[in-house]
Amino acid sequence: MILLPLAALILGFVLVYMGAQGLTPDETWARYTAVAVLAGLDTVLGGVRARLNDSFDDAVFVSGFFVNALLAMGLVWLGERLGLEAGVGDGRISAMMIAAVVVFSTRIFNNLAALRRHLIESLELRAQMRRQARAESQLLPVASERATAPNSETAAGAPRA
Amino acid sequence: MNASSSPLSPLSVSPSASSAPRVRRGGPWIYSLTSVCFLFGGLLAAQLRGIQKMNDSRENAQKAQIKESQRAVLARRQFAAERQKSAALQVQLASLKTKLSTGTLTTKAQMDALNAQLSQLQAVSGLTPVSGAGVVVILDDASPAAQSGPLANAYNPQALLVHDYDLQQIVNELRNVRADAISINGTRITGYTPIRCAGNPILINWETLTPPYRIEAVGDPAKLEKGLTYAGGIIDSLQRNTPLIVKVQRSARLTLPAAESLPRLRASRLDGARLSAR
Repeated sequence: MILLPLAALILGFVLVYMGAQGLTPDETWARYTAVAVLAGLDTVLGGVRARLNDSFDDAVFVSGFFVNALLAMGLVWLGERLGLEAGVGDGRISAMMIAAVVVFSTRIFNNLAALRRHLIESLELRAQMRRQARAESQLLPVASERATAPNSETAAGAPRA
Repeated sequence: MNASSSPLSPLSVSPSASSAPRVRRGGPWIYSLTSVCFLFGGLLAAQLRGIQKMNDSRENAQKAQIKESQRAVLARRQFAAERQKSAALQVQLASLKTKLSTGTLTTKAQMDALNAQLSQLQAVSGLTPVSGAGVVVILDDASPAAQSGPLANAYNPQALLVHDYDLQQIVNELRNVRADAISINGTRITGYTPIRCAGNPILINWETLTPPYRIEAVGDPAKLEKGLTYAGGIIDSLQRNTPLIVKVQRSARLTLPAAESLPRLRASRLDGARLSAR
């Protein structure tokens, strides 16, 4: 269930990694695309969590992916324009970028925690169900015995009149 | 489509919406998730690759810079070494120049010997003025009285004038008695000075000189006088046989000028002659 998206992710990664040999990176855009990738990661994990919560809405998810990425890029760019930077000259650090990183990292941590909880719960649930199934399979012949020979039991309580 | 397909916000209070799962049919959700994951994978790969390339290029640039600075240091060191060498060479050049200008390439003794020889040669070739004691011979044409006197008819009219051979013979006689320098009427007589007759005037060194002729010679006055005026000599014969005025006097101080120019060798060549210090 979760394997197909994962496979798609790996496939996409490998294709672009091997394919983009000739592309030259643009240093001016590198900052923005980094933040966009982080936003995308957050959205993907949020989608997985929503799927596990049965609250997945593909319109929300797909729109969220692009909008979050663009929004993050836009905010970082705006921050630079506004001068929200620390330091001087070449050693300047964009404060907006730090904020974006912090926010998206927080969300990623939350989503991962939720996923972890789900995983553990599902594992526990599965184990519980397995135990129940085993218990039921053991109890089943006794119940059938009980069903086939009720008269032999003159246990206190059941007056047969 | 059931009510659960409406993409409402979680704050909608319709019980049916809250209770029913909002997941749609099994189809769309997996497609959207898959495609977005695919896209995200690509983006992630692109970003990673880009950063990797940037770091590589930055490393390369740094390495190149380090190499450049190393090369610069090496070049600077080489330059310093070359400059030292050039300074040493300059010092050498300066010392050689001073040596050349002060002319200490020949020793002082050599220079003195050369100078002495040079002065000697100049003196004997008539190129320097000479002064000293000597004799003066005055030779003049016959006086008008003698020309028209009683003895006039006895003489050859040619004998009344001073001729070039007279002068030549006197000069010869002076050379015989080793006069240091001879001059006639202020013209220095050297070995190359021609004395010739051209009609009436006498040309000495191609200059017309008129009588009276004053022949000056520097040397020992007594010896010169004796050597000139001996019986049978030119002076004696001129005095006896011609009405020319011939006088010989000693002089304590004579100054003879230098010959005007060096004779030009027209047909001969110097045979590897060299000045040598004796």
